[in-house]
Amino acid sequence: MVGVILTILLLGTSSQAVQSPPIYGNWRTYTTEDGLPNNHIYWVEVDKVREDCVWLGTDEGLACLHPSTGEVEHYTPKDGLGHQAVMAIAVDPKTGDLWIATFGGLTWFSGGKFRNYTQDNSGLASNVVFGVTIQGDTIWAATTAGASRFIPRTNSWMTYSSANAPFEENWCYNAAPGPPGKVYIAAWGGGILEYDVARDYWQAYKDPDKEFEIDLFPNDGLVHDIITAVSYEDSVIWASTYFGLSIYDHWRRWNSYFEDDSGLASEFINFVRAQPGTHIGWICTDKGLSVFDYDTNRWVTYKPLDSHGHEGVVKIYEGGKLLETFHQEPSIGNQFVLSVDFEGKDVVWVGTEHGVSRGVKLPEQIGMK
Amino acid sequence: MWLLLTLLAVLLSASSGGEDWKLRRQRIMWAYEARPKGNRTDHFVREDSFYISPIQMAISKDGRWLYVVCEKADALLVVDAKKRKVVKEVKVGVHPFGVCVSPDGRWIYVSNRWTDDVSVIDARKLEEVKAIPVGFDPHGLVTDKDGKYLYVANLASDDISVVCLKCGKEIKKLRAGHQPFEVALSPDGRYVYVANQLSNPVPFREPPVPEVTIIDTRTNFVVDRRDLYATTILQGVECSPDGQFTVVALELPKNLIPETQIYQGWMVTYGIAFLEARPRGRVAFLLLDEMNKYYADPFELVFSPDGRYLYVSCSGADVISVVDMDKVRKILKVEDGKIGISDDTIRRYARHLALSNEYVVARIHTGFRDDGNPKNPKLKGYNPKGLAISPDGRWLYVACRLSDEIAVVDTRENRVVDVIDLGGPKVMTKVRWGEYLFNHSVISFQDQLSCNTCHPENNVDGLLYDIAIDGGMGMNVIDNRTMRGVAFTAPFKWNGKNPNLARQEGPRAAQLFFRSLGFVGEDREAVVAFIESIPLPPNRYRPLPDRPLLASADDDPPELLTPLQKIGKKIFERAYTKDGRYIPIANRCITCHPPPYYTDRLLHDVGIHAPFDTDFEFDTPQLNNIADTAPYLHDGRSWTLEEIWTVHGLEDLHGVVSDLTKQEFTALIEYLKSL
Repeated sequence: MVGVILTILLLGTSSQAVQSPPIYGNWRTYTTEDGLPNNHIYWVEVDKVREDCVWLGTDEGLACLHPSTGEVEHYTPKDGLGHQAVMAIAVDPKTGDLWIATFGGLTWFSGGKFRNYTQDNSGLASNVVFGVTIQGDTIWAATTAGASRFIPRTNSWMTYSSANAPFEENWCYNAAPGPPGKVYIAAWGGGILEYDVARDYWQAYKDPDKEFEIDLFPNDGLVHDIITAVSYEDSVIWASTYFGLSIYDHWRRWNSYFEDDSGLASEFINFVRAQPGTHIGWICTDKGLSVFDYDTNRWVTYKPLDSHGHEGVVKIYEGGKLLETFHQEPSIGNQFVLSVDFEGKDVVWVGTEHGVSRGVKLPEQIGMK
Repeated sequence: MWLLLTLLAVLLSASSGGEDWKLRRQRIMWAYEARPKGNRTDHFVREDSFYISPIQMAISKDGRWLYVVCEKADALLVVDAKKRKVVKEVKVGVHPFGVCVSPDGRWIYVSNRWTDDVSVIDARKLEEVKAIPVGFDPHGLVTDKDGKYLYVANLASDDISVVCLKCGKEIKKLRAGHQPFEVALSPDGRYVYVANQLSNPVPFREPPVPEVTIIDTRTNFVVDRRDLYATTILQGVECSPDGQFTVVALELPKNLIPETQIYQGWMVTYGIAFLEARPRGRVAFLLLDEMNKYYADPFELVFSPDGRYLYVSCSGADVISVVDMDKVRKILKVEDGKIGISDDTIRRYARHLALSNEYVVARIHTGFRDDGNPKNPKLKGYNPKGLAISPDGRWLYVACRLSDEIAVVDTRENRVVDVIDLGGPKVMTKVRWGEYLFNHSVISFQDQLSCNTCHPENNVDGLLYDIAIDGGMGMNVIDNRTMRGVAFTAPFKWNGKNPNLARQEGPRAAQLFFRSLGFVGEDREAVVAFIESIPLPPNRYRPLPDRPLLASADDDPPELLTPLQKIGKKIFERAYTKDGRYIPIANRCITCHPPPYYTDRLLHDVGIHAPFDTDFEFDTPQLNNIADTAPYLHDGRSWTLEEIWTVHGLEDLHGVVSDLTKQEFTALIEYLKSL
């Protein structure tokens, strides 16, 4: 009995001491002044298999930023890239190869060379590719005409769309790996599509309210069918829409989050990514970056106060209740946030309308009253 | 009944001791046996089944044992190099090709082309203990320095298997260039170099650009892809013992210029690429040829242990060329592993036919022809392929593929001093003689080229040729076509003007390619017999059966298709579009491409006539194993199957596809690959 009480006390103490989500700061924003080809960062991908390499998908090609030196490598269609607009990047953890979603096809980058797959020379559904992900030995591309699956070993393609799967709309925005054997597709107007490889089966998750642009019944499913991104981590699915955030918890419970009842910076969400090994989601909106810990129901929201991120404000919420506000100098590069990725547990990279920002986890007492 | 018993035995063995690899092999061969082979067997005589055809070799560290892969015997022969005798035959998979030995000498690995696996052979017991599945059509293979990983070049799937030797399975596939052929480990063990036989995709009517793929063994990632501009048929690859260079045996084709002559290297020359070992290093090329004499089809290379000499098997000339690397270094002005000559000079040397006398210091003739009768079966040394050198550098062993023997070269004298008989028939059958002629350049003016030069492994080189006076395509280029499974697909040539192979390989080849008298009389019959004997290899795009299937030479292959391929088959055979429009018989896929070879052997206008083409109708190509024969259409304008319709067939004259969804179109492509 004493032991149980002690455990409860310790847990209580521990939960009070742990600040989650943690606060990030000491932002350093890289822009064209640092050698980036363009400040519009559609995608940031920390290379997990190479040291000191952060890949950036920009409006003017692919860039690799080496943070230790500040050097930037830049690749354009002249080098073989499918298009200058690079929308998403995936690094194959097995081979180190890059798969790059562009507006001119799906580009493969390996050993310093590019090869581009298009709707003409391959089974790619459309040249306009918004998202890409890797699941085992299979590449998935989210295109405007459906989701295309490519198996390099057999050079085999397959496209899924309304013609052969429960896609209400074929315009796909994002692809993300799920638990083993599953992949998720975020469809514009089509909800989330979940593909089970073993069963060759598609499961669609849609907004039960259908056409309504308000969420008639909260927590009954997706907030909206226009899904900009989907992310999966430890049995929790995160879905970003232009009308709020949805979380599907262990395939049991849907939760919806809006500006007025949470710490969400904006309901216009460009992208969401779950932090590996946690139930923390990083939500990229048009008015700042929100970080939500699903377990603690706490939010940290970063909003720059100017378009270049010289100064910003950080707000901490529990549920919808604002706990604390403080300033940060500098802040993330711009309030229009497009992408995010993680370098280990302590560093985060945020792609914005004005460059890519690197933040580091601050000591826990910072930001806590 | 025996089939059932065989099945039972295989299933029992599979379930009783981790013998799944045997069942897998059996399933591959069941699938293969059920397909039409596309070859004629009436030329064969009993002896044709007993040739062994040594192709590659490895040597034990102490130089005592030679491990000889014999592609037709499906075996590895173990040869006592001291006694110069075969001591053991180890059965492996089907059509073995490459061989390497683990660094500790405990294991021997053999790649098996048709069963898509690597045999693991216990070097003490000399028996195959297991086979590890890898990619399609595995060729060269090498272990890393510690023997942890095995790297296997999979020619037909354009990738490299990285096999964990401890866990005995492939852990990843790295994408290679087109048709990875051979591999080599750098002396420090840091990099694996992969020579890719054919060009990566290039824009229409531009020179081929194959690559050398470079893998960092610390990460097992591809770290560099070195383009070898305007070259093709990269086969042998080796690293110099000092680690400064990687060398590649290759061809330098001039396929895009009108083939008005072949002398002075007009059509093709043969040489070596010298790649600086450093990342993103430069590449220089030197020819093996002389002004009036060519050394066709270089296949394998090996350095003397001190790195002074490089031996190159010129398999189409029955010659081993000996290159003095000291002289090469002077010519290339090498300092600290860097090539010192300018880019212009590199380009000039790559075409310089008078230069080889400076660095080729000997030509070792493996073919003995001193009695003037090349058909005398006593004569030896046909088609030298694999090479191995003794640790002291004294003996060079040459696998003479078409005379079933190992030629032993004394490197102090640079001549063949002995021959190790590997067995096999002592008679030369018609088919075997035809195979020799097919692979030998003696047929052409100044020994310029063999049939194999443009048809490596009896397939295609992926090039477009401007055959100037072909009487068919005018000033345009034409696509090369395979020799596999063509026995029942006459007529030949894209304009169908050659009614049979005898004409194709006789006057036509003599006039257009060889610029000689060409194959005549019995020689021509032998070449035709050989070509007609070439079977289609296994098709990797069909699911494997669980039981033996009935072979069928005349019908569509058995209904063993994936769901997607079944959709594709319906489209292939359909008579109506999706909106109910009737498709005229003449415009249905299956009309012009009926099984089993998927050609009606007629000419058709499918709307692909190019400006300046003199013909509108073209021969209907067979479709079997079509995934292995890119590019496509008569002038090779389509690099992929998709482009045949997405780029070039927009008028629905080449079948009707415009009503198809992307999914249906993909299904059609997948079905075509399965044929």
